[in-house]
Amino acid sequence: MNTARPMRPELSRTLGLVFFPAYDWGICEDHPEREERLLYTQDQFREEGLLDLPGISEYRPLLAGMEDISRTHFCPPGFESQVETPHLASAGSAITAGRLVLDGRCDKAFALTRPPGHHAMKIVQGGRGFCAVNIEAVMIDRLRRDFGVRRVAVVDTDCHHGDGTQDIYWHDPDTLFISIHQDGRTLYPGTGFPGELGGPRARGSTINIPLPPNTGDEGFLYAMNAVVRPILEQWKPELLVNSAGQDNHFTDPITNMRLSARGYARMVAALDPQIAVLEGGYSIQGALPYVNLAVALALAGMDYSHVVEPLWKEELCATDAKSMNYIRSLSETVLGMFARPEAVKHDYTHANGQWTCERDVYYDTDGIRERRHETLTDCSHCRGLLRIRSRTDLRPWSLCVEIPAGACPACRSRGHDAFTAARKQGMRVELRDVDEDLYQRA
Amino acid sequence: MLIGLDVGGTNTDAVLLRAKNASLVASFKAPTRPDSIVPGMIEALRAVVRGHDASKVRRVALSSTLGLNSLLSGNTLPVGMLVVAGPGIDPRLFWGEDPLFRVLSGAQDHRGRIVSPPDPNEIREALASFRELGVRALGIVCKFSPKNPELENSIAELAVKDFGPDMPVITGWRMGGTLNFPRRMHSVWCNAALAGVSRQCTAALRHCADELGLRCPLMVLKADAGVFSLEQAGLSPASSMGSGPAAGLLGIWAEDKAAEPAATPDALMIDIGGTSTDLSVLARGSPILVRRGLNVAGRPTLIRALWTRSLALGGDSSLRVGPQGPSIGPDRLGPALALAEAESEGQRGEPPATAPAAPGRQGGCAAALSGERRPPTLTDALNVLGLAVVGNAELSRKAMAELAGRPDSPEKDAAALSRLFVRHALERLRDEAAALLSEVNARPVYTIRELLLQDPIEPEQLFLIGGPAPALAREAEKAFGLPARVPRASAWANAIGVALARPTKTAELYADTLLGRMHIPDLDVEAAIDRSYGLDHAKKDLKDAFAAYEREKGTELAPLPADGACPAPGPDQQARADDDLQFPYAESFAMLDERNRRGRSIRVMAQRAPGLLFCWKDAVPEAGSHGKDKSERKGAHSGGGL
Repeated sequence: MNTARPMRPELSRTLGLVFFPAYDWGICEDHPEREERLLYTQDQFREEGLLDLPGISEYRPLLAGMEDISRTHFCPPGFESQVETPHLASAGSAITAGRLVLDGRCDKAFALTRPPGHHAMKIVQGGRGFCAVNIEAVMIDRLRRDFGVRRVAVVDTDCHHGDGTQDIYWHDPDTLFISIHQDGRTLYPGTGFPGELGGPRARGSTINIPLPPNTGDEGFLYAMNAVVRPILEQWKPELLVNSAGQDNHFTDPITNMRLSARGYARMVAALDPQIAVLEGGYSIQGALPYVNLAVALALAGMDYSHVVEPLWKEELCATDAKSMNYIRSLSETVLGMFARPEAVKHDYTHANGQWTCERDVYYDTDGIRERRHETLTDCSHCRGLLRIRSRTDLRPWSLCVEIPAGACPACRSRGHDAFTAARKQGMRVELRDVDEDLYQRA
Repeated sequence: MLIGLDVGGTNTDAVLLRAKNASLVASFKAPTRPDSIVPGMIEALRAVVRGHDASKVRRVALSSTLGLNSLLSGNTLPVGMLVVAGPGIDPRLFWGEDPLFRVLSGAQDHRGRIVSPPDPNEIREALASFRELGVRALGIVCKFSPKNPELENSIAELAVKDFGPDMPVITGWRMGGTLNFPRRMHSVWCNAALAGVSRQCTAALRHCADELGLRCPLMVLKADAGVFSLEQAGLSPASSMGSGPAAGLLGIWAEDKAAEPAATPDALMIDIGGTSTDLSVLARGSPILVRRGLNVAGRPTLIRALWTRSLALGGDSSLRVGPQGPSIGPDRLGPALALAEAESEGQRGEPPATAPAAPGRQGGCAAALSGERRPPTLTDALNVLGLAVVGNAELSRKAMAELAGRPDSPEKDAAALSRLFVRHALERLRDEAAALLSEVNARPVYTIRELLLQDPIEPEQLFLIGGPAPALAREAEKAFGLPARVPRASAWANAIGVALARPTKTAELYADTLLGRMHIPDLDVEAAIDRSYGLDHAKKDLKDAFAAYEREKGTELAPLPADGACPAPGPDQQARADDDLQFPYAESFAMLDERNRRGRSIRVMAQRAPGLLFCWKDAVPEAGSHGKDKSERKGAHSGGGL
């Protein structure tokens, strides 16, 4: 006589899943970021009965509006030409995940969505690294408006440097951005070195940990425990977001790292973010079903020790001694820079009460080269007005003006003046006033 | 002619219909015995066939509570479970401590590829221990078996060798193509555990049919509001569990033409019984099915069933006043006090049939015998307001007045208090309906198209069924702000609905052109495919497999032309008759495997949706207008089990 009844595992916490695989949208059939990408993850989640576990629920994403995109990005070619419905759905999935946590419906939320977004910068002239809209940033900026959260930390564990998110919050001392990734000398986008510490008024709010190729579970966990956690403990965010790229997996076809599904889960458990948003991950059969499952279980505070991918072998996920030594000394360097960011030189020049800097950005999806000229007012009352002039191979100079959160009246009127002047010159110009939740363009 | 049988908690209703002019030829109510449903079914069946030519009966369809009752009462076989889980969540998390639950080594991946087979010695050892523990049925479930049944079949082969062919061995892939390993385990367990009782019941019904000269297909109602053959029901008894709301839906369809699929706007269906009320949603006349499957006796299963929310509130719910205010239910101590006379009559003669309530709730008899007054019921309140006419309304008035006289009562007048209770009951129904709708409308979608196009379901119509339905209709219209339709007489509606229920079936096809394999677990079809296999091939294969299956099982649509069934009018009905195989989804994904080979992963689902064989033109007669319903009891009208 079977007397056993299904166990009702008491979850220590609740997890909301927002799953949006966009099965009817892709760039082309053999692109790494293709329709099929989350198919096996969904099969695995369904077959595991993940949603039958008490405490784990699935939520339908809302569709983000253009006002959500223009709260984060500037787009000289016009949002209509760059932002498609899938981007709105993907950003909407992230926003839904964020709301689940902040309105108290769930302790944790995980948005498994595509397309990803962490290479999309503040200015969008085209597509970069499969991204057009930075879904985490759009989520964070919306949550700031809706829930009044201020100090937000983003830890980007995608194998590629999260250059888009870094760029968006470069001048924002209220957003701590930490990226752990494969060293930029060996992988796209080629940035993310320890010396990149944030703009002149937000030094130390950007942290980069470039790990050597072939780093495995031990190396990642070391960086998480020795660098990321102490920094977070000191910085004390109100909200912790994980940009969860699953492409550090040992089977990923376009990267060179050696992380396992359980390694990912241990890393997430150590980080303990409130919100995770899926970014990259292109081993869609060998890694994603297992990594996403392990990460979901780790977020829910459940046992993930049985999630062993079929191709897993201990030696495939090992970090060699040489790499471990390198990671240890890298960790010290990064911690030292976080402690004294002013000791590291930055590439802004100071003149006439403002900081200026030149940058070149390449949009690999569209093959566009962009030149930027950034100007930040050195204001003693606020973060300072940000003005970015941008031109590409295809478009003439346009101006993007950002009146930052907590702007002083002088910077605000300076911003509106800049907008008016540019418009009179017939230049394309966009203006955002963060506190007023205002976006306008001409 | 068609026969429909509806087994309720109190009565077993049988109807004999003539298809030619869609008329009710005979009907009969037999009491349902609490210990076994079979005698009531046989009695009712005999009664409606008596005096008619049994050879003209083209089909017998029945709804049964057998599976659920057996499960709840523990009338099940001890089942040994062998599972292959591979990587993922530990399956014991979904099961708990059980010596009859064995997790084997081995694994199969999400494409159905066997990563490693289980160790045969491990299987033999488990089977030996099962034998010692007195196992009488076996369940075998592997993760991802809908994509490839090979592992399960090889284990089943070993088990049959070991235990012999008489041992029921249920494999997971036979539960269909839905991916959900824990639910597949529990569905397999339910089917294995019920194998014994379902074999007995099938044999008894078959025997009875033979004896009566009924040489037609015998069909059983499933929880998705469709029927399947008695033989299939014998193999998969779990599918008929939870078919109560389905019978209610068919009853509405049978009686109210306006409720037929595509004829209506979105609607709420409220089935008010004696102790509980079930709410479900109709999207343009079609029921919304519960996501993932029905939960039965604490077990999550894959059983397709109407998406229902139940609350413990019905016509017989006790009304009380207390320091926390007035309360309704959740208990039922007996029928309305207005029927108290009937109750005492019942005590003098044979005991009245009682719903198979939980032990210790032996209804009004106990309360009456102990001399203690039990509280009035919702039906008594409706009686006081003149909305219901049940039994002796004076008894209701007395009881409500007494309740109103209590110090805690917010109203001092029987009518005012009754009004308060009715409003309170409807508010609870309305809140429950709102919760159900927000659940249904929050169901996830996975494509941009659905995200943009899917309209939320917004009911514009109420369908009220069950005993107290007519009495509550007008008040419900006010509370919900929606027009309400109530079947004029619900006494035979469910049995007629069951008689007319169409066969339903769903099947999912998985094809993987890189593995060169196509599999339809629900229809037991497997084939090799080549690289050019596409969505059109898949749809055609699924359609052909469906046709072959229906021919073999005798569940083709429209099995009634010889009897001159009236084809239902309307373009929609016509289209359905032509070919109503629906494809809820048909997807083909470009695949690029680890070695950069291009292929396609194809998933197609096909279904025959529930509906009626033909429209029921005849007005459903009032109960009692036929000569055959001798056993009609006054008490049966108070709500429960109708």
